[in-house]
Amino acid sequence: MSELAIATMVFMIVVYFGGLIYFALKKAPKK
Amino acid sequence: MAEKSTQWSSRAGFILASLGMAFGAGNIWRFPRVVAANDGGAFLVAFIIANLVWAVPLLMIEMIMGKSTRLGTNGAFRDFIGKKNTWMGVWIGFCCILIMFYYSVVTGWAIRYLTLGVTGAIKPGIDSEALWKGFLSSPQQTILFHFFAIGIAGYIILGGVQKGLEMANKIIVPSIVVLLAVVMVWALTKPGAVLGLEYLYRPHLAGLLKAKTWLNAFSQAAWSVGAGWGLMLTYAVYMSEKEDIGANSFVIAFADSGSSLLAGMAILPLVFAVSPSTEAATKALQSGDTGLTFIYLTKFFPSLPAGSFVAALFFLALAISALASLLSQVELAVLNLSNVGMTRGKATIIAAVIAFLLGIPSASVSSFQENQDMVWGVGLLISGVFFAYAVYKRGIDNVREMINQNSWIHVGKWFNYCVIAIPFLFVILFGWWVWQAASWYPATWWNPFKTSSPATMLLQWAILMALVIAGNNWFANKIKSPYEKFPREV
Repeated sequence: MSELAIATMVFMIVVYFGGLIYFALKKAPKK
Repeated sequence: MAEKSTQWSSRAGFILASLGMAFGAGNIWRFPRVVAANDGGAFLVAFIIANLVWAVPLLMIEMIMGKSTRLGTNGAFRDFIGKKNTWMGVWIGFCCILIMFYYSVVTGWAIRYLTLGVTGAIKPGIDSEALWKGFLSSPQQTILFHFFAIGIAGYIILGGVQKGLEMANKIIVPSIVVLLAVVMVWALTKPGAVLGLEYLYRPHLAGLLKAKTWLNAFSQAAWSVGAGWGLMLTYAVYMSEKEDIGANSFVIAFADSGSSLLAGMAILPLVFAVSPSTEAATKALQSGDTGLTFIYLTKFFPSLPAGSFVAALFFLALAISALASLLSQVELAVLNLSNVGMTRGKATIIAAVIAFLLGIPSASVSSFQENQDMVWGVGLLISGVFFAYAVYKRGIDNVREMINQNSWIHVGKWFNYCVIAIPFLFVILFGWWVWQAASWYPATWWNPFKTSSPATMLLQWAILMALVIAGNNWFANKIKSPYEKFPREV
């Protein structure tokens, strides 16, 4: 794999799964 | 409050069921092919943007309509934007039910190949093309496995929301992730597999300047997440009062996209690992969904160590992915029938029996299945427009405020812009599909009796549209609510 493809892979995994983790960790705001 | 058993038991239960709905056969056999054909990394960027612009707002709209009305698609439109617009919800429901008829057949195909994998029939020297063609041309077999698929789905739905749908998805969804991860790791240990990752992640950012990349990304986003189908609305009816809409919509869209990425990381290295040459692999990726899965991979799986065993795992992942999506389609039908006063048991049996009977033409004649796949697949884009119309009618800011009252995150003005964009996106996407179909069949595009002509789409849509508009008041007056104790306004 080229270095650019590896960098793209890391970036995409961070974006796709980072977005999932960020919103999954959201909790109901305290009233 | 309604009985607890008609609600999801937890946020995790709701999200897993929704992900089971969203993640279907298309994520496994279509997404990797489309990524490979559209400049890899460029498509992945366009796809996540398409999800945020098309899928997330539609998920939010469906959720607020389901949660606020506590009715299926028909009743939700009646109570959300008035009786005279009930037909839009009926269209959405029928569009999804017409898909259910042939999707059960497709699920049956995957179950058939799972049985072949488990019994060791996928072995070196297999003539996979003859096997596939022989299976398709044997209605006894295709109808039998269609029967198994809808029978299993009906049995699970009979169990109810928590003990049926939720429990099944709590097993199915993690299993899909584990199975795809096993296939990915196995494939990546084989020579040549890394070329598949190169295909997936090659950073051809110039692809972002091509209209085709964006059109394919929006089409995939519209079908992949299941936003605008009425399925999310159905599942939102069973949300608890305190459950969030904003964050959950993002979770479902990102989870579906992440799972698609995982499928890409499993399937593309798999294709390159089992292929005798790079040329053969690239050709296989152009051979269509069923060609790639049931002919190509089936042929070359056994050529590698433990390949027959991995083939069984792969077809298990495909079968349970399709089953989880089929469950949501049956549930949509069952909820609409329950809303006219039927018990859940009676509604399930009626939905399953009708799905079996009306799925028989698709099981018997593969060109009929192809026709229905195109007609109602593209028809779902109209469903998306109807949801956007419901928001216009109720007031975009008003609906956004309703969503925010039910969200753990603040949904800003971007939601308004996305809702306004949906009809324009529909016109562009629909125009593109018609143009494509016309260019594939230049001599027959006008003929409504040809399998993939734009004319067949328009004719079948017109018939359904006329029926649902004519029956508007009948449908509207039939609806009762088994969940009347829920507040009607959020």
